[in-house]
Amino acid sequence: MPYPSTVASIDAELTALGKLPGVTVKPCGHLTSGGQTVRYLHIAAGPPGGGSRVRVGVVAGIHAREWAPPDALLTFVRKLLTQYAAGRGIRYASYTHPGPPPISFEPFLISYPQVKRIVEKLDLFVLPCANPDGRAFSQTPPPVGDLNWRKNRNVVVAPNVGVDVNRNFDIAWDFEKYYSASFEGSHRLAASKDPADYQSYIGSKEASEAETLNLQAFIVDNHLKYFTDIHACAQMIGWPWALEMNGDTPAQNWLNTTYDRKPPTSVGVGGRDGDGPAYNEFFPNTPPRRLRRRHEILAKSARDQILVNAGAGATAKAMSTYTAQQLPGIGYFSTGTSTDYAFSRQLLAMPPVPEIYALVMESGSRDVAVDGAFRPTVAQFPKIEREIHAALTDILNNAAMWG
Amino acid sequence: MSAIDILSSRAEALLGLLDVDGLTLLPKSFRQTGVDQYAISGFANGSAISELQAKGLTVNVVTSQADLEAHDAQVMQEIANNNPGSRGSS
Repeated sequence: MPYPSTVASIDAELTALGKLPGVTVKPCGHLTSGGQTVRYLHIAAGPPGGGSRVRVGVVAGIHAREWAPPDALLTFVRKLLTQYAAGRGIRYASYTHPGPPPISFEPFLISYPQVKRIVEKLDLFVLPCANPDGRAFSQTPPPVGDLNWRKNRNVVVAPNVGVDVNRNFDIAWDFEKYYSASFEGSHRLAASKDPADYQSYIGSKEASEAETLNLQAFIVDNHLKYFTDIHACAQMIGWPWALEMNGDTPAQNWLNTTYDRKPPTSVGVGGRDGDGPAYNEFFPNTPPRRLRRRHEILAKSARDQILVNAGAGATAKAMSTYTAQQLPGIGYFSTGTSTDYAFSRQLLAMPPVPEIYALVMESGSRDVAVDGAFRPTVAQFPKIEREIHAALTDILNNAAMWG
Repeated sequence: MSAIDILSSRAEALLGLLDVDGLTLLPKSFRQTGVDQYAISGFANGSAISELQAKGLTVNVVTSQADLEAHDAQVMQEIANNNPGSRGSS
């Protein structure tokens, strides 16, 4: 499956991978507006786990224009399964980035014990192309298509086309209800109710889109304990929440209507404005699980593995330097995201029933000359592929070891 | 479109840019680059760059329109190579 893959070639690769031992291909339940069936892999190879496998899900392709993650996810699965069958680790040859000037990245190895652990300890669910209509449109030359297309292709409010699937999940979807009125004046929200918004239209209601419903079912029905959503191109591994800064007070949660739309007050209501201290979204961090701390460890470990695998060259290291952070960082907040949705499932019961881990990988850099931003060239792709494989190996290994 | 970095000494000056016509902002690129130095990246046409500059923001062109068009022409050729006959995906 040569990069850049088309929707058809992704589907063909899913079918081919589904013929390998221990792998099944499963269809999602909702056809896209373009009539596509989204499919995913369930990988449970090796000896039967006796019900003790850790359930881990990885998705890519929610945003149409982010071309590399679906390809890298599928090449990871193929390498993982073929090398497991062969009883060998996965060897990555040295790679020369085209530059200019050309930059050398050293070879690295994912050891066989790591491969074996991932394959035999996990129920691994892989959904590589969540938004096939959008991907096809972004790979169609203008004036018919649009390389920068991000959303799906559903016509919600004619003539406007498309919903940002990653603002459409059923988690604090209605930002006008969730945030204080003053928050909107701060212009720190990357979400829009304007159907004409080119990037971040949230849809007509929560989970209005087939792609969202498919992903929500993928997360819930497969009882995922670990969830990773791969995007481009911010060179970052992030953890929830995306909608507010994290806090320790259980009552401060998105379901608590006491806080809806209200400014901060002295009696402790309102204040969902991203600035604290009146409100910070509850993120459990008590012993023994220390969920927030473990998210941080997962993200930083994956970040470090990417850097290690770049090799010793200073330029290569600089080009593979990721950040690890809570998702908003110092900038914009987002509602209705996949990662917040996956993470939120454990908090629907109070007291919370941990534990679900949810991460975002923003693969590659925004620098067109380095990683092609949203659409690397064939020559640029191997660097991003190596980074995604390094991060995934690390996350999956930790999931297998932590249980 | 060109790939740009938008710089300011005030973080709040880099907020509210999602509504600038002709600018595709990358919200997750918002970063602190030094003491009282902030940046955010995006893709912009000429009028958007002018509007940003009129707001008092510093705009650095990272990839010119010509270079971005050449990059896009290359990737479109590469996708066509993988999908002969249809010039794009199915």
